[in-house]
Amino acid sequence: MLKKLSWRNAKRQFKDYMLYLITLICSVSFMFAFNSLVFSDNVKSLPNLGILPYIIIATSVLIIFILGWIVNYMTNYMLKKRSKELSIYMVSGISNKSISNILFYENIIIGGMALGVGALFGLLLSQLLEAVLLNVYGQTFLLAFKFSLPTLGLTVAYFAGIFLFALARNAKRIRKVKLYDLLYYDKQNESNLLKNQVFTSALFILSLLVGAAGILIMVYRPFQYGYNAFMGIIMLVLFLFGFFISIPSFLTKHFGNKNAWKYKSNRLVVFRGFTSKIRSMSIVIGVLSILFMLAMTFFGTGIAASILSSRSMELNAFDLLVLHQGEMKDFASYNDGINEVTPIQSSHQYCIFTNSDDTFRSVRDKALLDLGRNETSFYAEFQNDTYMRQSDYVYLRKMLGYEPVIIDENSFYVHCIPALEKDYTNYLAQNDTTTFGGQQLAFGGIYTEPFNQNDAYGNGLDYIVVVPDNSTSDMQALYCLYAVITQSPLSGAEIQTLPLQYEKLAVLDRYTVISSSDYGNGFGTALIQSDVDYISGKGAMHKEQSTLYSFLLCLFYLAFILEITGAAILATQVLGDYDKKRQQNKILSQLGMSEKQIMKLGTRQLLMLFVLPILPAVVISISLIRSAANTMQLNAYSFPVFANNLWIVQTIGISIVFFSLLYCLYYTAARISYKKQL
Amino acid sequence: MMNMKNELLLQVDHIEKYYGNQGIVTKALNQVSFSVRKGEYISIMGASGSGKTTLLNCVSTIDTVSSGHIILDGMDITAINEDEMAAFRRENLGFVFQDFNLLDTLTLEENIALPLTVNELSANDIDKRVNDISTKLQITDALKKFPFQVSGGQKQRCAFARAIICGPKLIIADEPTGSLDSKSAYTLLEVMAKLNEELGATILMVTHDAFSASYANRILFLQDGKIFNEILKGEKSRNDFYHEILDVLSLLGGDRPC
Repeated sequence: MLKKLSWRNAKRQFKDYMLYLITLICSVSFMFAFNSLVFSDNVKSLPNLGILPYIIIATSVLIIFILGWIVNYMTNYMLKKRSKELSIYMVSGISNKSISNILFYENIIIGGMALGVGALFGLLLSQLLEAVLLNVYGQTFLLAFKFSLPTLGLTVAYFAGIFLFALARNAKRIRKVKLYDLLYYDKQNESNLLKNQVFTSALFILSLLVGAAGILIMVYRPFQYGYNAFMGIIMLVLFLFGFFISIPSFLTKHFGNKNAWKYKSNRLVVFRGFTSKIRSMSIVIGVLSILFMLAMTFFGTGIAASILSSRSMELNAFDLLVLHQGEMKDFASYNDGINEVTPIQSSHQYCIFTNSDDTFRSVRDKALLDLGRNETSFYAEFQNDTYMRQSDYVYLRKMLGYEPVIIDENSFYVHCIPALEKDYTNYLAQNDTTTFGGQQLAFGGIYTEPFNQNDAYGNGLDYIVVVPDNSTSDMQALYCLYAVITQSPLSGAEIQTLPLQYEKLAVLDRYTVISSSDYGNGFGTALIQSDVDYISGKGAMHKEQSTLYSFLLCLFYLAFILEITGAAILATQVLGDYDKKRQQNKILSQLGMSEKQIMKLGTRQLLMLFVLPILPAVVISISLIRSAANTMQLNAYSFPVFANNLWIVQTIGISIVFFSLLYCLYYTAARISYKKQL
Repeated sequence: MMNMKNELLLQVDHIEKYYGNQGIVTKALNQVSFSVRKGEYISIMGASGSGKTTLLNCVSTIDTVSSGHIILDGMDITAINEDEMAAFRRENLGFVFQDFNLLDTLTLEENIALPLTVNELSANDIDKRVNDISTKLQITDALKKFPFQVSGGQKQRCAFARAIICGPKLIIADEPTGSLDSKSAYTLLEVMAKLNEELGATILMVTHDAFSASYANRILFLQDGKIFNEILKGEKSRNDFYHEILDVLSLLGGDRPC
C-alpha cells in the first residue's frame, strides 16, 4: 500500500516539478556525456589530452557538491509544500518512519527516472561532444553508439552520491518533525531577517560599497595577485548576500511610503508582492545570484580564451614554418610529406639574422616596461635585434597576399606587431638613419600585418628589421625558416603526423625551455636539440592549447550546470506559491480587475523576480570577465594582441547573450507554467 | 431616503443553478425570485447546503446561472460577457467574505486603497478617501500594519472598508462575522447597520447566525434551493426580530445558535 502511494506521489511530483526534473535530467545527461570522454578511446588517442580526464573528474566533484546542495534544497522545499499532506498521513496513524520510507521510495523513483532518461540523452550528447573535440583536433568522427559500462557506473556513482546525501537529510527531518509543525506550517509567517529600518539602509549602502570595493580590487589589483582574487571574491559574495537581505526592506522604506508612486499604474500589488517574495527568499536569491555570476563568468572566460586562441591562429600567418638552426639548408625534402597531407600552394626558405646590436630590442623592452611588465624575453635567441633580407620580405608579403610595398635599397624597414607601431614610429622619428654593415640606411617605413611575430621563433619576436640583402653579409644567421602556405590549413593532428615521417623533425614546443649559457644566466632556448628541425604554424597544437581546450570544455560544462540548476530553483520558487497567487487573483477579480490585467501583473512580477538575481550577477561578472580576459592576454602574449578592448566587449556580449538564451528558456517555461496554473 | 428606498436595485427572476454532469445533477437553486430596493439591508439564511452561497455567487457574478435573469440597476448581469464583467464589478459591487480576503502582502491602508488604484484615482484622492473611511470604521491606528499583525475584527473592518470605498451600488457580504469573536462581530454589525441607515448603502448578506441576521430589514430563508420564507423587521425591536428569526429557523430545522 505504501509503495503504491509512493508511486502515485512520484507521478504527481513529475507534474508539479517538471522544470526541476528536466533540469535534473539535463544535469545527468551532461554528467554522462563528460564521463564518457574519460573512458573514450577516441579521446585517449588525441595528442596532449592526458589532463582532460583529471579536469573532468575535478569538475564533476564540484558539480556533485552543487547538485547535492540543490537536490537537498529542492527535496526540503517539496517537503514543506506538502506539509498538509504529510500531516494527513500522521493523523491517519502512519509512523514517521513509514512516512520517511514513502518519501524515500518516491525520491528513488524520481531519481531513477532522471538517471535513466538522463543517461539515454547523455549517450546522444556524448557523441556530439566527442565529435566537437575530434573536430578541434581535425580528426574524423564516426557515429558509434556504444554503451560504456564504466561511464554508466561512474554516472550512477556520482548521482547516488548526490541523491543519497539529500535523502538521508530528508529522512532525518521527517523522523524529527512534529504534527503541529506540519499542520500549521502554512500559518507561519515568513520571517523577516531584518526589522530595524536604519540598520537595513546602512546594510544596503554598506553592501553596495563592499561590492564596489570588490570590483575595484578585481580590476585594479592593488595587492599581490592571490590576495586580489581572494579578497575580491569574498567581498563580492558578502555584497550579494548583504544586498539581497537588505534590498526588500530598502525598497519598502523608500518606495512603500510614496503613495503617489505606488498607487499608479497598478504598481501596488506587483511592488508589494515582489518585495514580500524576495524578503522570504533573500538568502536563496543571494545563492542563486552567486551561481549565475559564476556561470556568466565561466562562459565569459571560456569565450575569451577561445577568442584569444583564434587570434593566435590569425597572427600565425603561415600555415607552416619549419625552423632549421644555423645556416641555410634545402627544405625541399619536407615537400613530399607536406604534400601528402595537403598540397603546397607556395613556399619560401630564408634566414633570420642577428648581430650584437640591441637598439630595436631596447625600444621593445621599454614599451614592455611602459605596460607595467618588467620582464624581457627569456629566449636566448632574442636578446639582440633580428633582421630579414628585403628580397625575402617582399616575397613573403607576396605569398601572404599583402599589399605590395616599394622597397628602397638604401632604406631599412620595420615589421612589427600592431602594439609596437607607435613606439617604433616615435623612436624612428628621432633616429631615422642607422648603419648596417658599414652602410648608412634611412628609415623607410613600418608595417604591422600578421607575420608570425607574436610567438618566439617566427619572423623575429614582436618585430623584425628588414634590411638590404647585402647588409646581412656581416650578420650571423640565427635560424632559417621554411614558410609554407598550403591549399587548406593543416590541423593540429595533421601537423603532429609530419614528425613521424622525418626522423629529425619535431613540433616546436615554445614552453619547454632549457637553459642556454650563450647569453649568460637566466636565458633559455626552446630549440632543445641542435640537430633537429622544428615545425610550427597556424594549426600546430601545443600542449598548452590542449590543456586550454580541456579547461574550456569543463568551464562550459560547469557554467551550464550552474545556470540551469539556479534557474530551475528560481522557477520552482516563483511558481511554488500558486495557491496564494490564485487567491490574490480572485480578490483582484472581485475588485473589478480584468483577467488580462491580472495576468499582466503576474507576468510583470515573474519577470522582475527573474531579472533581480541576474542584475548584480551581470555587473560583477562583467568585471570578472574583463579581468580574466586581460590576465589571459597578458599571460599568453608579451604585448596586447588586439588594437583595443573591443574584443573584451565582444566577449562580454557573447557570454551575456549565451547566458540569456538559456535563462530565457527557463523564464518562458516558468511563464507558461504560471499561466497554466492560474 | 424614502424615495430612494422605493427604487428597485436588484431583481432576481426565476433563477436556477445546476451542478454536476449528465449522470448526477444537483439543483442548487430552484426558481428563486426576489427583489431588493435601494437602501435595503437583506439577509439570506438557511441551513448548510440550502443554496445561500450559490445564490450570492450568482448575484455577485462570481458564478453564472443555469437559467433565469438577474437585473441590477436595469442591467441584466446574466447577459454580460467576460470582458464587461470586470468593469461591472468595479462599478457596482463591494465584497465582504468570512475569511476577509485581504492581500497578505499589503498593509491595511493599501488593501483599502486597492480598488481605488484599480480605478486609477489620484494618490491625493485615494489618501483622503482611505482616511475618511478608516476613521468611520475605527481602524486608523492599524492602517500601516499588515493583516497578520492585526486582530480578526480589524481585518474584517478593513475588508468592509475596501468593499465600500468605491461607493458600490450593492454590498455583498458572505458570512462576514463567521470568523470573528462576539465583540468584533458586534462592532462590525453596528458599523454595517450605521452605514445602511446613514448613507443608504444596500446590503445583501448571507449568514447562518440569527444574531447577525437580526440587523437586517428583511430576511429570506432558503431551503433546498428554494425561498422557504421571508420575514420583515418592520417596526419590531431587534430583540423581537431575533426571536422571530429563531422561530423560523426551528421550523426549518437548520442551524441553531449555540
